[in-house]
Amino acid sequence: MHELSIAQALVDQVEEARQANNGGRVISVRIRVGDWQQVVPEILTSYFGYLAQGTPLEAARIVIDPVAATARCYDCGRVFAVEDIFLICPDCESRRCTLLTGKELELTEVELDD
Amino acid sequence: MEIKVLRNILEANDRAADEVRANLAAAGVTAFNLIGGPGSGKTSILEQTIPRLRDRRRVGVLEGDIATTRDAERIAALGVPVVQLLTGGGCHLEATFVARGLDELGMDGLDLAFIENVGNIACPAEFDLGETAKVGVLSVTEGHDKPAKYPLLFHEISALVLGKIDLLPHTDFDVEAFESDFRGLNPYAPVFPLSCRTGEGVAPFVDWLERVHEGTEIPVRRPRDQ
Repeated sequence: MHELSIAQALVDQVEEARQANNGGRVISVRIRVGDWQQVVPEILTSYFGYLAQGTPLEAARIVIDPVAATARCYDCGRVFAVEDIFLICPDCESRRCTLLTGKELELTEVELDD
Repeated sequence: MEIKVLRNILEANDRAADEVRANLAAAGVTAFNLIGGPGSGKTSILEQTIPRLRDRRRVGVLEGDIATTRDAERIAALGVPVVQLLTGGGCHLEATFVARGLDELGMDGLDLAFIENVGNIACPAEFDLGETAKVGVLSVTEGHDKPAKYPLLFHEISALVLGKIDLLPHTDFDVEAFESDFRGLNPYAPVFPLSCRTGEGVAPFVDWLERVHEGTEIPVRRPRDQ
């Protein structure tokens, strides 16, 4: 259900971008979604379509670029892909690690018809 | 025509959260966002902690629920101000809603505010409410595998209450497996095992809440932007 809040925020931002560019209809919307955000793409897309009904956004295609989780170890500095959920350094086994990527939820591109 | 933009999709929520944070700081209120599954014991924990704080601290509560005012009634029975936030189906609280709730509650004259989120251990983890600290609530009856299954929440919290420990002998909850998984996500947050039935372990949690309020304990907050 959090997809509904995300979809609403996205619709608002796409509409702002569209108006700022004197745009017509929106053809596609590109977003980056981190693995750790637990967003279900189909649900987000379907809520977007629901909220955009009857607006210049209604036919927009949602393109989702997933972002894999990566982390950095505070102790040895190693940057690593978080493959099995846990933030444990594969080199020194330290648990003092910080997520670098994986929590993204970003609008990156809006395509308008000319 | 392709337009490049780079915007955090939740920036409206995050802006509202920053405003809540500033208002709380100005009023000297410490706010705890309680996040746990339905039936994990969030309201029971408040029923245990509030009477122990009430004499020394002025406490207010925002009760997030999908429906009914039952939890708010339980809190009101403790004699502290409470505002029920009904999401009408929404699975989590958002910052604008919390801002309105805090206005209604009245921050002047409060020391501590508890925000009991909607019962859910997935969605609430993503929404900054402007709180001082997120506190996770997990009961042993839910199983030790929850940190691994809901990594974002267990990563984001500043403290974890492990509830219903009086039931440990009757469950398959593996404390070692839980600790190992949890520390793989969050090496910093203190864990408070407690039982609302027996009262065991409640005092150390109350002490932590007070230390955070006094500023002698700084809760670890995970950065919103990486």
